[in-house]
Amino acid sequence: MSNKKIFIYAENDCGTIENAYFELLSKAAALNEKLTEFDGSPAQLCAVAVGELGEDVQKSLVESGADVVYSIRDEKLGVYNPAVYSEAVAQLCRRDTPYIFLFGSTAMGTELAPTLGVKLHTGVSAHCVDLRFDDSGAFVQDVPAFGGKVIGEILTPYTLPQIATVKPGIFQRAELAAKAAEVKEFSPSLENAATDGIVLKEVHIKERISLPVEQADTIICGGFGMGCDENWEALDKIANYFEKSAVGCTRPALDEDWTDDDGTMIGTSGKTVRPKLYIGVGISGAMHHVCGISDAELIVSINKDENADIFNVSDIKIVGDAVKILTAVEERLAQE
Amino acid sequence: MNIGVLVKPVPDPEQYNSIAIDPETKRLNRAGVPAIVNPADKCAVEAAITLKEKFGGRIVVFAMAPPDGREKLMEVLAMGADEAVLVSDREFGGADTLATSYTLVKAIEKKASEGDTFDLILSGNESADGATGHVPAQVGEQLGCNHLSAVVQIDAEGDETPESLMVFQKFENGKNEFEIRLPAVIGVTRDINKPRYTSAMGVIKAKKKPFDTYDSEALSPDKTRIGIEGSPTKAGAIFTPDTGRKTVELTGSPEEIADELVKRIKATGVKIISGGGCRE
Ligand SMILES: Cc1cc2nc3c(=O)[nH]c(=O)nc-3n(C[C@H](O)[C@H](O)[C@H](O)COP(=O)(O)OP(=O)(O)OC[C@H]3O[C@@H](n4cnc5c(N)ncnc54)[C@H](O)[C@@H]3O)c2cc1C
Ligand SMILES: Nc1ncnc2c1ncn2[C@@H]1O[C@H](COP(=O)(O)O)[C@@H](O)[C@H]1O
Repeated sequence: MSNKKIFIYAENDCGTIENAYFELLSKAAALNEKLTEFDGSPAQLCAVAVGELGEDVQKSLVESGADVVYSIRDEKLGVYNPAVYSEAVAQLCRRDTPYIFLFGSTAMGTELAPTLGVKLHTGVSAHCVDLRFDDSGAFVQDVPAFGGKVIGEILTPYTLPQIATVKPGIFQRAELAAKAAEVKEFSPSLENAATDGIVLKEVHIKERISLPVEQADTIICGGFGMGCDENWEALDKIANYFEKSAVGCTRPALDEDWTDDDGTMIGTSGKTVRPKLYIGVGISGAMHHVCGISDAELIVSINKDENADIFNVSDIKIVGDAVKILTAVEERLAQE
Repeated sequence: MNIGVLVKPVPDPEQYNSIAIDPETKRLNRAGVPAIVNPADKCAVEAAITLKEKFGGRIVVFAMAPPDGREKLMEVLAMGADEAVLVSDREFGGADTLATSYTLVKAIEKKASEGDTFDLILSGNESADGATGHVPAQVGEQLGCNHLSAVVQIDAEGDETPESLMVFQKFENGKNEFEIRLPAVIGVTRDINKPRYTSAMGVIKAKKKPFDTYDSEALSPDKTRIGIEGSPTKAGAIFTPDTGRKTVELTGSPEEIADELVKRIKATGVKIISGGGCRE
């Protein structure tokens, strides 16, 4: 085995490992094939988990397809504290110098990765939409700019680890052969770490009643063109005819309070989705939104403006008034 | 409470669809896209003004930008900030987030050494153009103080500058409520407030407010840590993602359109559930 290590942050969210970990591990496994061409052997894939894991979590990591599970443990790592977590992870990196370190662009990942970048004085690329090795063996990180309108290649040629964050949903989780990873405990020395600068007082969990958009097979998405609260209900009615469906929104719709679930916003600052069917209604097609739906199988758009940008990225274009079209569609669905 | 606010001029995000790559030069063509103050940064300024109204003190806004960034700083002075610092030098150009935050830290430290020590540094959580969200964490880390990103609410009690603030950080499943000891750096999202409009009086007053420009000489930075050279990440090629699809337009009456749409949806294999009720 090559002595290179690819670290993947295994975010432990209330007793389950974030999807981003499995998605990134799948990507890393694919990257490893190319890396083997250059190095003659694959890199070690290492899950990095902070805090007490619990039996189930540890088991899911051991069976995830990683080679090693680093379990970073200390009594000061009981609850999330960005200052202490980042210090603990930095100490492991200083000892074992990973070649690449991948984080999900979750709230926690987007806080830890840049902090680690400073501590290790290395580069961090944000919200990557692809990762690859080029023909010279350089690790290329594709980073979106201007809401995803432009993609720039980023390289971290001189420093290690090469840190990158990737939004959940960008890569797909693959079934990896379980390897029964070796669990290595790491005890950071946190005697001097100031734990009282930031103290977690309470976690306010938001209850979700509906299926998260990122898990939906059908998404009916409403934009500012829905016009008002009353019209919004039409989206729910349509969604009712599809299994595993969800109603999504753009940012202006959220700002108007037509929906209060900010977890349903799709795009740069929201979710990346890949449903079988996406129907967008009253949405102009700003890159900030569109970049979140580009992997949908069938994109249907309804907009009264025949020149709306959203049509350029759609399979089916419907020019017309949102309410009129939705009413007709609902009546038609009722006949099924 | 003395507060520094980091403000970045960005091309207007409403016009990103018109940004393209010149096929000949392979460079970004953003001709005609005007600069605005990064939307989240206006929220940071608003949050600073709210805290100042409660505790008094001064608000100093910092931007690292080319010389025309001055105009954008004037806008936030007009909103109610007291003083502005434009950090500007060719040597700072091409900086990634690590070099940018290092440079901003040098500017903050210089300003602080002139008398205004800061209790709090506020920034937007992310910029509209680069949108890395790295700068608040990286400024905090390099200043050596507590820092939190993705903050959607700041609560401060009492009449005097408190030792710590209660802040709510947004995460996937809700909010984390943290107590954070000052001095601290906090990145705020647009959820935190609605920035006030600028009054005509504000614009007039802004012209009389102190305005400093720091170049590389003024900051005497470690030259290996600024600009392109000081950036551990290097930019390679740029390209536009291919999001285009072969589009079919459905026409006719709403009923005809609905009929054709349902047929096409069924053809893809997506099942329609008779009678609906899937989400009840
Ligand atoms: C840093 C940053 C991050 C952002 N992140 C996101 C994000 O994650 N997700 C997101 O969605 N946005 C995001 N935005 C906002 C984004 O730039 C756009 O402003 C937003 O996507 C536009 O939403 P919209 O299409 O619903 O509204 P609009 O752009 O206002 O479009 C409304 C559309 O509805 C049509 N319409 C009007 N009336 C009718 C009618 N009766 N029937 C049919 N059609 C009608 C109009 O023709 C128009 O095309 C972000 C912006 C910034 C700066
Ligand atoms: N050049 C800059 N000058 C001033 N503030 C900046 C600059 N770059 C980033 N910031 C601040 O850092 C925040 C996050 O930016 P970013 O990390 O680029 O997404 C912005 O909202 C600004 O508040």
